[in-house]
Amino acid sequence: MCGIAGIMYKRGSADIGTTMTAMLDSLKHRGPDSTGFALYKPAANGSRDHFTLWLKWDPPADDQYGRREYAAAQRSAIVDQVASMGGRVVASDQPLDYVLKLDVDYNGELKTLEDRLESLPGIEIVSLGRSMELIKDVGLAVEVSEHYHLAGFQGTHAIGHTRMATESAVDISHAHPFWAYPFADIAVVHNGQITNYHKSRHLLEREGHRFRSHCDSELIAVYIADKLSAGLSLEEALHQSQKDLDGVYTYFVCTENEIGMAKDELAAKPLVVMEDDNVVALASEEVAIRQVFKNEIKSWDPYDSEVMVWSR
Amino acid sequence: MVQVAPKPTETAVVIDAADLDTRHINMAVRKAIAEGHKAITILNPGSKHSICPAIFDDVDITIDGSVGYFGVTMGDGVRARITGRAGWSLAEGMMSGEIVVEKNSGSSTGASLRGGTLVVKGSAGGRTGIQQKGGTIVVGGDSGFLTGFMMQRGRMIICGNVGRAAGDSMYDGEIFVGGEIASLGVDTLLVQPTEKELYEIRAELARYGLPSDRPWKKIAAGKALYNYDSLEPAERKMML
Repeated sequence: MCGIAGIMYKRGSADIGTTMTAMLDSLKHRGPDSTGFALYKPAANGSRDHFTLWLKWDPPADDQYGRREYAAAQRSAIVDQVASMGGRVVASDQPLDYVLKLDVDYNGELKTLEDRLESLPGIEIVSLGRSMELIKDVGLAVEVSEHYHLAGFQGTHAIGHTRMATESAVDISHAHPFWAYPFADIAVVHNGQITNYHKSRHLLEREGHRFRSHCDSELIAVYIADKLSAGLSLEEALHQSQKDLDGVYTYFVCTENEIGMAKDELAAKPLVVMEDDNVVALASEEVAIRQVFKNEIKSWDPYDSEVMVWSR
Repeated sequence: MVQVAPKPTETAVVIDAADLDTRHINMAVRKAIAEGHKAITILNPGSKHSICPAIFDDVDITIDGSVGYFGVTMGDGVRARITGRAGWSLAEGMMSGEIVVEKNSGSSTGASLRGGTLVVKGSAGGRTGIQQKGGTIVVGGDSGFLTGFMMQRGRMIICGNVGRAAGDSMYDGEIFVGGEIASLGVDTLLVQPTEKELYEIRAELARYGLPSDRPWKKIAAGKALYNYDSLEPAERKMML
């Protein structure tokens, strides 16, 4: 059991950091292990060459370094690697000593940059996007939100997840959302189980895709990325996933300007949708939507095998 | 149209649930019942879960807003009106009474219903009336996948469409559908309702202000997979 939530403002932007924190906090009974947010803001100056990255590393294996020294060393290794690839680090932020946020100007091949960064020992890219910032960590929504200073994050749309781990480890790598390597700005949150995980993962690995966890939800992110790269629209990819992925699931895919959702053919995992002229809100339980809309709303449960896509 | 909530009287009480959690809402309801109040109004329920479970008293409850999962479950005699919508497992295990929801409801609406009447004026989610063992479920709109799955007794009236595998593995009972049936479940029969049944449907829907002029179809159990009798233990004793 996990909790998922999403919100999209059809025009303008809002404090989605605070909104998503409230929505996910109300779903914490569905999963207290870890919390994650994929927050989308308008791309800086409309630039296609400006990216925000979030990277993480495991704490040092021995006591040779203190955590702070280790973090500084990792930071400079990452910055050097970006520079060696012809990128320029515009800004950086290190809210905790095992993560790094970088704003980078880069106009080369994205996958090459990603692979070179992840070739550094222990480094994992958690998020890469022109407008996306994917933040996830162990703990409750209010804790993660506070540690990463999410209050006041002005954005256009977002998805998030509270996790009750059932089949894989509790750490940042296994927390949701999952970024869809190697594509910028694509994130997935999922509530359910994919039962043909090993077979599907094997097929995608043979295509050259990289997996950084043993969480079945990462499979959805990689799967969708694979389909989008083959030229399918998000809606087509979601429909195709219902044929290819077995199990029970409700999941959301977020891109630079879309939120999509897909539900399995048994309708076994919950979802409530509310939509009006200005906003779309979706969540595992209506109590999350109530955090944003106190007044009476019109909401409904999508049926089995439904796919919906909203764009702005 | 039936007026579920009576006019406020000296026996009426209002509970504002805005700052209360489930436990304290239910404690306030039980306290009000113990004090002899016959009409209870709950304001700002905020879609919280498990509101008003297991109420065995002759009371009218108006919930002004929406409830989350397990709204007004296991009731025996309670009459409730929910002005908003309801989440999963609304009225699960109700023994008797009447529950009316003005908007939509989630999956497993009226699961294991034993008696009483459950009315959802909007649409219900999947598995409506799963394991229904008695009583009546009325849905004004559509109902999803596996409606009436393993139904054993009772009646379901779905004014709109039903999803795939309707009535799958039903032992007994009857599902009336006013719209399209996406597909029938295993061991079901699609039959024409009798005049008496149509009269009863019209009367039932009229009570709740729902239109009944539809091309009604009836899903009944095929009983090809049927290895049980339909008698309650008390009835079996009478037969023997």
